[in-house]
Amino acid sequence: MPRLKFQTLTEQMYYILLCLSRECCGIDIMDQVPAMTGGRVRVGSGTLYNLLEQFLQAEMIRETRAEGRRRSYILTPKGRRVLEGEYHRLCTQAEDYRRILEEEVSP
Amino acid sequence: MKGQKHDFIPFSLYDRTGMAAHLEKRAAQGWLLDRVTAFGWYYRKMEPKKVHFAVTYYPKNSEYAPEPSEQQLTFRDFCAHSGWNLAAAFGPHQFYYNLKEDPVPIQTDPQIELAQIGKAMRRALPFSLFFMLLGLYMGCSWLWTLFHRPINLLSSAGSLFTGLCWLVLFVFFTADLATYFTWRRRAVQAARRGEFVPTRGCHRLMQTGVLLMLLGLAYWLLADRTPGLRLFLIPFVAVTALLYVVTNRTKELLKRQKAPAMLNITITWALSLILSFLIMGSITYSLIQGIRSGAFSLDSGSPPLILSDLAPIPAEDCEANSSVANSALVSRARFWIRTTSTMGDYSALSYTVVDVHLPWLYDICLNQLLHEKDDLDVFEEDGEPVSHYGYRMADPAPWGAEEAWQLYSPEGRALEDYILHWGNRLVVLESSMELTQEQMALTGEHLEPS
Repeated sequence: MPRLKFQTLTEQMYYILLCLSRECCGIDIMDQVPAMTGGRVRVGSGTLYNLLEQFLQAEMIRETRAEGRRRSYILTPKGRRVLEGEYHRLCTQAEDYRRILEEEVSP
Repeated sequence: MKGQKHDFIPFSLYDRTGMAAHLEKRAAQGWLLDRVTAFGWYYRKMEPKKVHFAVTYYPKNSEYAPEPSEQQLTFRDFCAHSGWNLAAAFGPHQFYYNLKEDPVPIQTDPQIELAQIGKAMRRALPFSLFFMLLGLYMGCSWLWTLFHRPINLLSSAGSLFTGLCWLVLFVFFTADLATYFTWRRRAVQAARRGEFVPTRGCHRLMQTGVLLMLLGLAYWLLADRTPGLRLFLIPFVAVTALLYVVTNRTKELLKRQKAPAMLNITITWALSLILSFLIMGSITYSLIQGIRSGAFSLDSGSPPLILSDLAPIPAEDCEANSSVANSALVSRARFWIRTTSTMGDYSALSYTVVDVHLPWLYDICLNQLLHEKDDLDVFEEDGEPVSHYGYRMADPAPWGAEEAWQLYSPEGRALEDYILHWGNRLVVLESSMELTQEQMALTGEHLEPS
C-alpha cells in the first residue's frame, strides 16, 4: 500500500530533520549526517537539495538566513511534530522487539 | 581538432546509467566531457583516469535560458560540496563528474530520482507517443502498399526510403517507451525497498535505425533515376541541414546576448518557420522556372512505341507524357500517347513497362497487374460483387511474347487492354484502336527487352 508523504520518514529524512532541530546551513547537513551516524548514513547532494525543497513546501522547515546562495533552515513546529512522530514510531518498534525477544528468552 | 573529440550517441532520455558509463569510459581513454549541444557531446583531452560520472535531471531547465537559474546554481553548490563538478548541461540533463575514489552519489534516495526522471519523461512523452503513432500509421500504410501495390513501392527508391524511415521511427519509439515503462515498473518496486535499478536505453537500436536511414538515403540518391529528382532532393537535404545549423546558432547567439528564454524561443522558432517557407518556396520556384525555360526537363526520354509506329499518324500530331521510377528491385516506365485535339480522329495508346530485376519478385508484380482492374465498375448488390473486369489468358504468338493476358468486361467483352510478358519484363498496354495482328507484332517488337 502506498504510504502518505512524510507519514513515515526515510533514514535520510529523519537525520536531515534532526540536524535542523538547530538552525543549520543546508549544505552543511551533508557533513553533519555522516558525523552524527558514524558514517553509517550518507546523504547525496541531489537528495538533500530535493528533500529541503520538499520540507519547505510541506512547511516542515523554514528559511532563517540567506548569505548569497547559502541558506539556513530550522524546523517548524509541524516539522518537529513529524520528527517526534517518527521517533515514537521507532521507539515503539524497538520496544516491540525487546518485548518479543525477552519473552522468548525468559518464558 | 587536436585536443578535442566529438561523438553523437542518441541515448534514451531516461538512460542515466548508459550515459554515465559512456562518459566514464571516455574519461578512462583520456577524454573529459566539455559541453553538450544538439550536435552531440564534445570532449577535451586529459590524462586518462578513473572518473565517476552522474547524470541528474533538472526538468525545469530550458535549453533557451541565457544562464542557469538561482536554484540550479544552488544545486551545483550542493554537488560541488561533495566533489561533484558540473561538466555540461543540456535540456533536462546535467552531467557531473567526481575525481574522488568513492564519492557519495548525488542521489541517495531512489524515490527522488524516480520522480525527477518521471517529470522529465512526462514532458517528452507526448512527443514520443506522437511519433510512435505516426510511425505506426505511416508504416502500416507502407506495408499495405507493399503487399497490395508492390510495383508502385518497389520501383521507387524514394518510397522504399520513406517507408524505412517510418518503420524505424515506429520501432524505435515503441521499443523506447516499452523499455522505459518496464524499467519504471521495476524501479518503483525497488525504490520502496530503497534500491536503485540501472537503466537500459535503446541507443543501439536508434544508431542502427539512423545507419539504415542514411544508407536508405544514399541508395535513394544513387539509385533513383527519376528525372529532376536530384535537382530537388539534394538542395532539400542540404538546406534542411543548413536550417538546423542556423536555428541552433541563433539560439546560442541569443543565449550569449542574455536574451530571455521566451524571447529566444519566439525568435528561433519564427526564424525557423520563415526560413523554411522561404527556402522551400525558392527551390520550388527555381524548379518551375527551370522546367519552363527548358534548362532541365522532367521528361524521361522518348517512348519506345508511338502511335506513328502503328498507324499513319504523323508524329508531330501526337503528344506524349511519361513517368519513370527506377530502383534496384523494379523499374517502371509509364507512357501516355494521344493525338492532339486538332486531329479529327482521336487515338490514344498508353502502356506501362515493368522490368523486374529480382526473379523472385516476378510473381508478386504479375499478381498486382492481373488484379489492378478488379475494382473497375464492379456491380454490387447488398455489398456483394456480382461481376468483375478480369484478365484472361490470351495467345502470346501475335505479340512474339512468352505469355499474354487480355482484359474482359463484366459482360464478357474482350477489351484492347493486354498484359504481355517477356523474360523479366511485363507490359500493360491499353489502346483506343482495335489492334490488328500486324500491329500486335509491331508492338511486341518495340516493347520486348532488347
